[in-house]
Amino acid sequence: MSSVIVQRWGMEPAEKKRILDELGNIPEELYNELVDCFLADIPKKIEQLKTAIQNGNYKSIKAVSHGIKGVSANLRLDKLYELSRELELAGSNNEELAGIEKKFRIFLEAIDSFSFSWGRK
Amino acid sequence: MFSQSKVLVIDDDQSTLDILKFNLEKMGYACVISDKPKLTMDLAQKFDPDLFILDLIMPEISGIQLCHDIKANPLFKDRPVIFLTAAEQESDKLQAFESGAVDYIQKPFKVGELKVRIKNQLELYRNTKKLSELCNDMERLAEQRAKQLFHADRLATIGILAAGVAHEINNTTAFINGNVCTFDTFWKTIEPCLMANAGKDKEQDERLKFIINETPKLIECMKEGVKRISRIVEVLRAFYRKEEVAKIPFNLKKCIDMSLQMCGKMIRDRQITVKTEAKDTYVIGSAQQMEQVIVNLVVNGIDAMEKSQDPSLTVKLYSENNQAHVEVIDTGTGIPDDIIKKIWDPFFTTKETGKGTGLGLAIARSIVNDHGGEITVANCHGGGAKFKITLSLAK
Repeated sequence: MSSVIVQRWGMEPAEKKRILDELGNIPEELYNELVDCFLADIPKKIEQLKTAIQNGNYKSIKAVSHGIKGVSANLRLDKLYELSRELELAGSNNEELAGIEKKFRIFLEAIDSFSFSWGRK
Repeated sequence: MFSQSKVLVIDDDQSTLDILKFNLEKMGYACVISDKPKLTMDLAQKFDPDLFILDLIMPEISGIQLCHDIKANPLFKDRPVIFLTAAEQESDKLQAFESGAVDYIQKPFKVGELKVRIKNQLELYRNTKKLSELCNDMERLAEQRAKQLFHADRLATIGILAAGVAHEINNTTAFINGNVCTFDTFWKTIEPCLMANAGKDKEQDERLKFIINETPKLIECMKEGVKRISRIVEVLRAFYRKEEVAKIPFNLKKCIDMSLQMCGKMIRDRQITVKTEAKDTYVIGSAQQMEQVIVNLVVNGIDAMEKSQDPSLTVKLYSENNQAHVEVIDTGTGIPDDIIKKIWDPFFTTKETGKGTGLGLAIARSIVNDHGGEITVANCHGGGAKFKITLSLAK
């Protein structure tokens, strides 16, 4: 099945195997489905974050990035987890919006790069 | 065998729900998941979970609020709640525990650790539940025993009183008895004198005839009454007196015959067919006490057949392996499983209030035990109960 893993996953097959393992050996299909759902949902979240940052709505920044953090934590998407966690922290600490926007942009790049590698044939 | 534990998981994020459901079911738990926190209490009512796993930060209702709701519900307040959350501030954790949670697991979680934590909490819950059930049982038992003690104490007081009263009555009965007997002899002298005076007045003669006719019956009646008082007094005194078991060989067959004779009126009145199979069999102890035991079993058997169509009582006596066995078998209702262990308890009775003391079988067992034997009970196939006394044969 390793060929399937390479096709669907931008990371090393060993990495994916480790994640499936960590999640209690969940079936690969279930994992793929969960990542697909996450990616299908993410544009909506990005829109919400963008609006929240524009309006300086810290509460919303915190809430939306908390949601993203939770899912990426579950799915062991470590980089996305780290970046969304930073956004949530910045939101709860009422950091300057310029700084938050910068973090948001880094997050967007990471999402792009991940969804590209995930969807790669 | 344990019944399957049930876990309810509430999280607004589908990935948590799916990963948890997969793992919990693999562990053998029944698992219901929902991403609608508002439905938590409805689901709890329907599913009756043993453990809750809640997300902390959710839209609509927070996990903290849910935990408060669960703890406020008398049905679920004892069920463990575990938080599984990406919230990482100390204040979140504190709030979670303050709301009544037993554990707090941080996302990203390690499945292995999560499983152990869930398993531990379920075990703890099960043990606590068992402990509280045991505690309730003990309390019930203590209450029951206290009542029995109170009753026993009252009975002991009555016993002492009865012994005192019995003594007084015995003295009085003695002189009534003496005087009645004396009057009986006097009467033999009086009677002819009365007759010698007859023939003067017709009306008076009729009256005299009547008196002469009735007086011997009155005397007999008085003698019988005195005898009955003495017997009652004797029983009262015997009840109070704790005697050493006599160590005299006696014939169990005679005991059975005597017992059935004592219950003769009851047997005739209730039209009970009695079958006996008995050969002379000697054991050591008190024939009188063993008679008391057998009478007790016979009376119980007769009472159990109050509503039987064809009441029949079988009493068997046989020896086997150096032991004598007495079986008293009725064709009554049998003894329900839930009370068969209690029938030996002092003051336990199924008879109407005032009819049984609940002491019969307790005393029977203590007598048989004092004789070094044992008494057991079993229900028969097709209804009825069988009591069996086993005693060592006299050598």
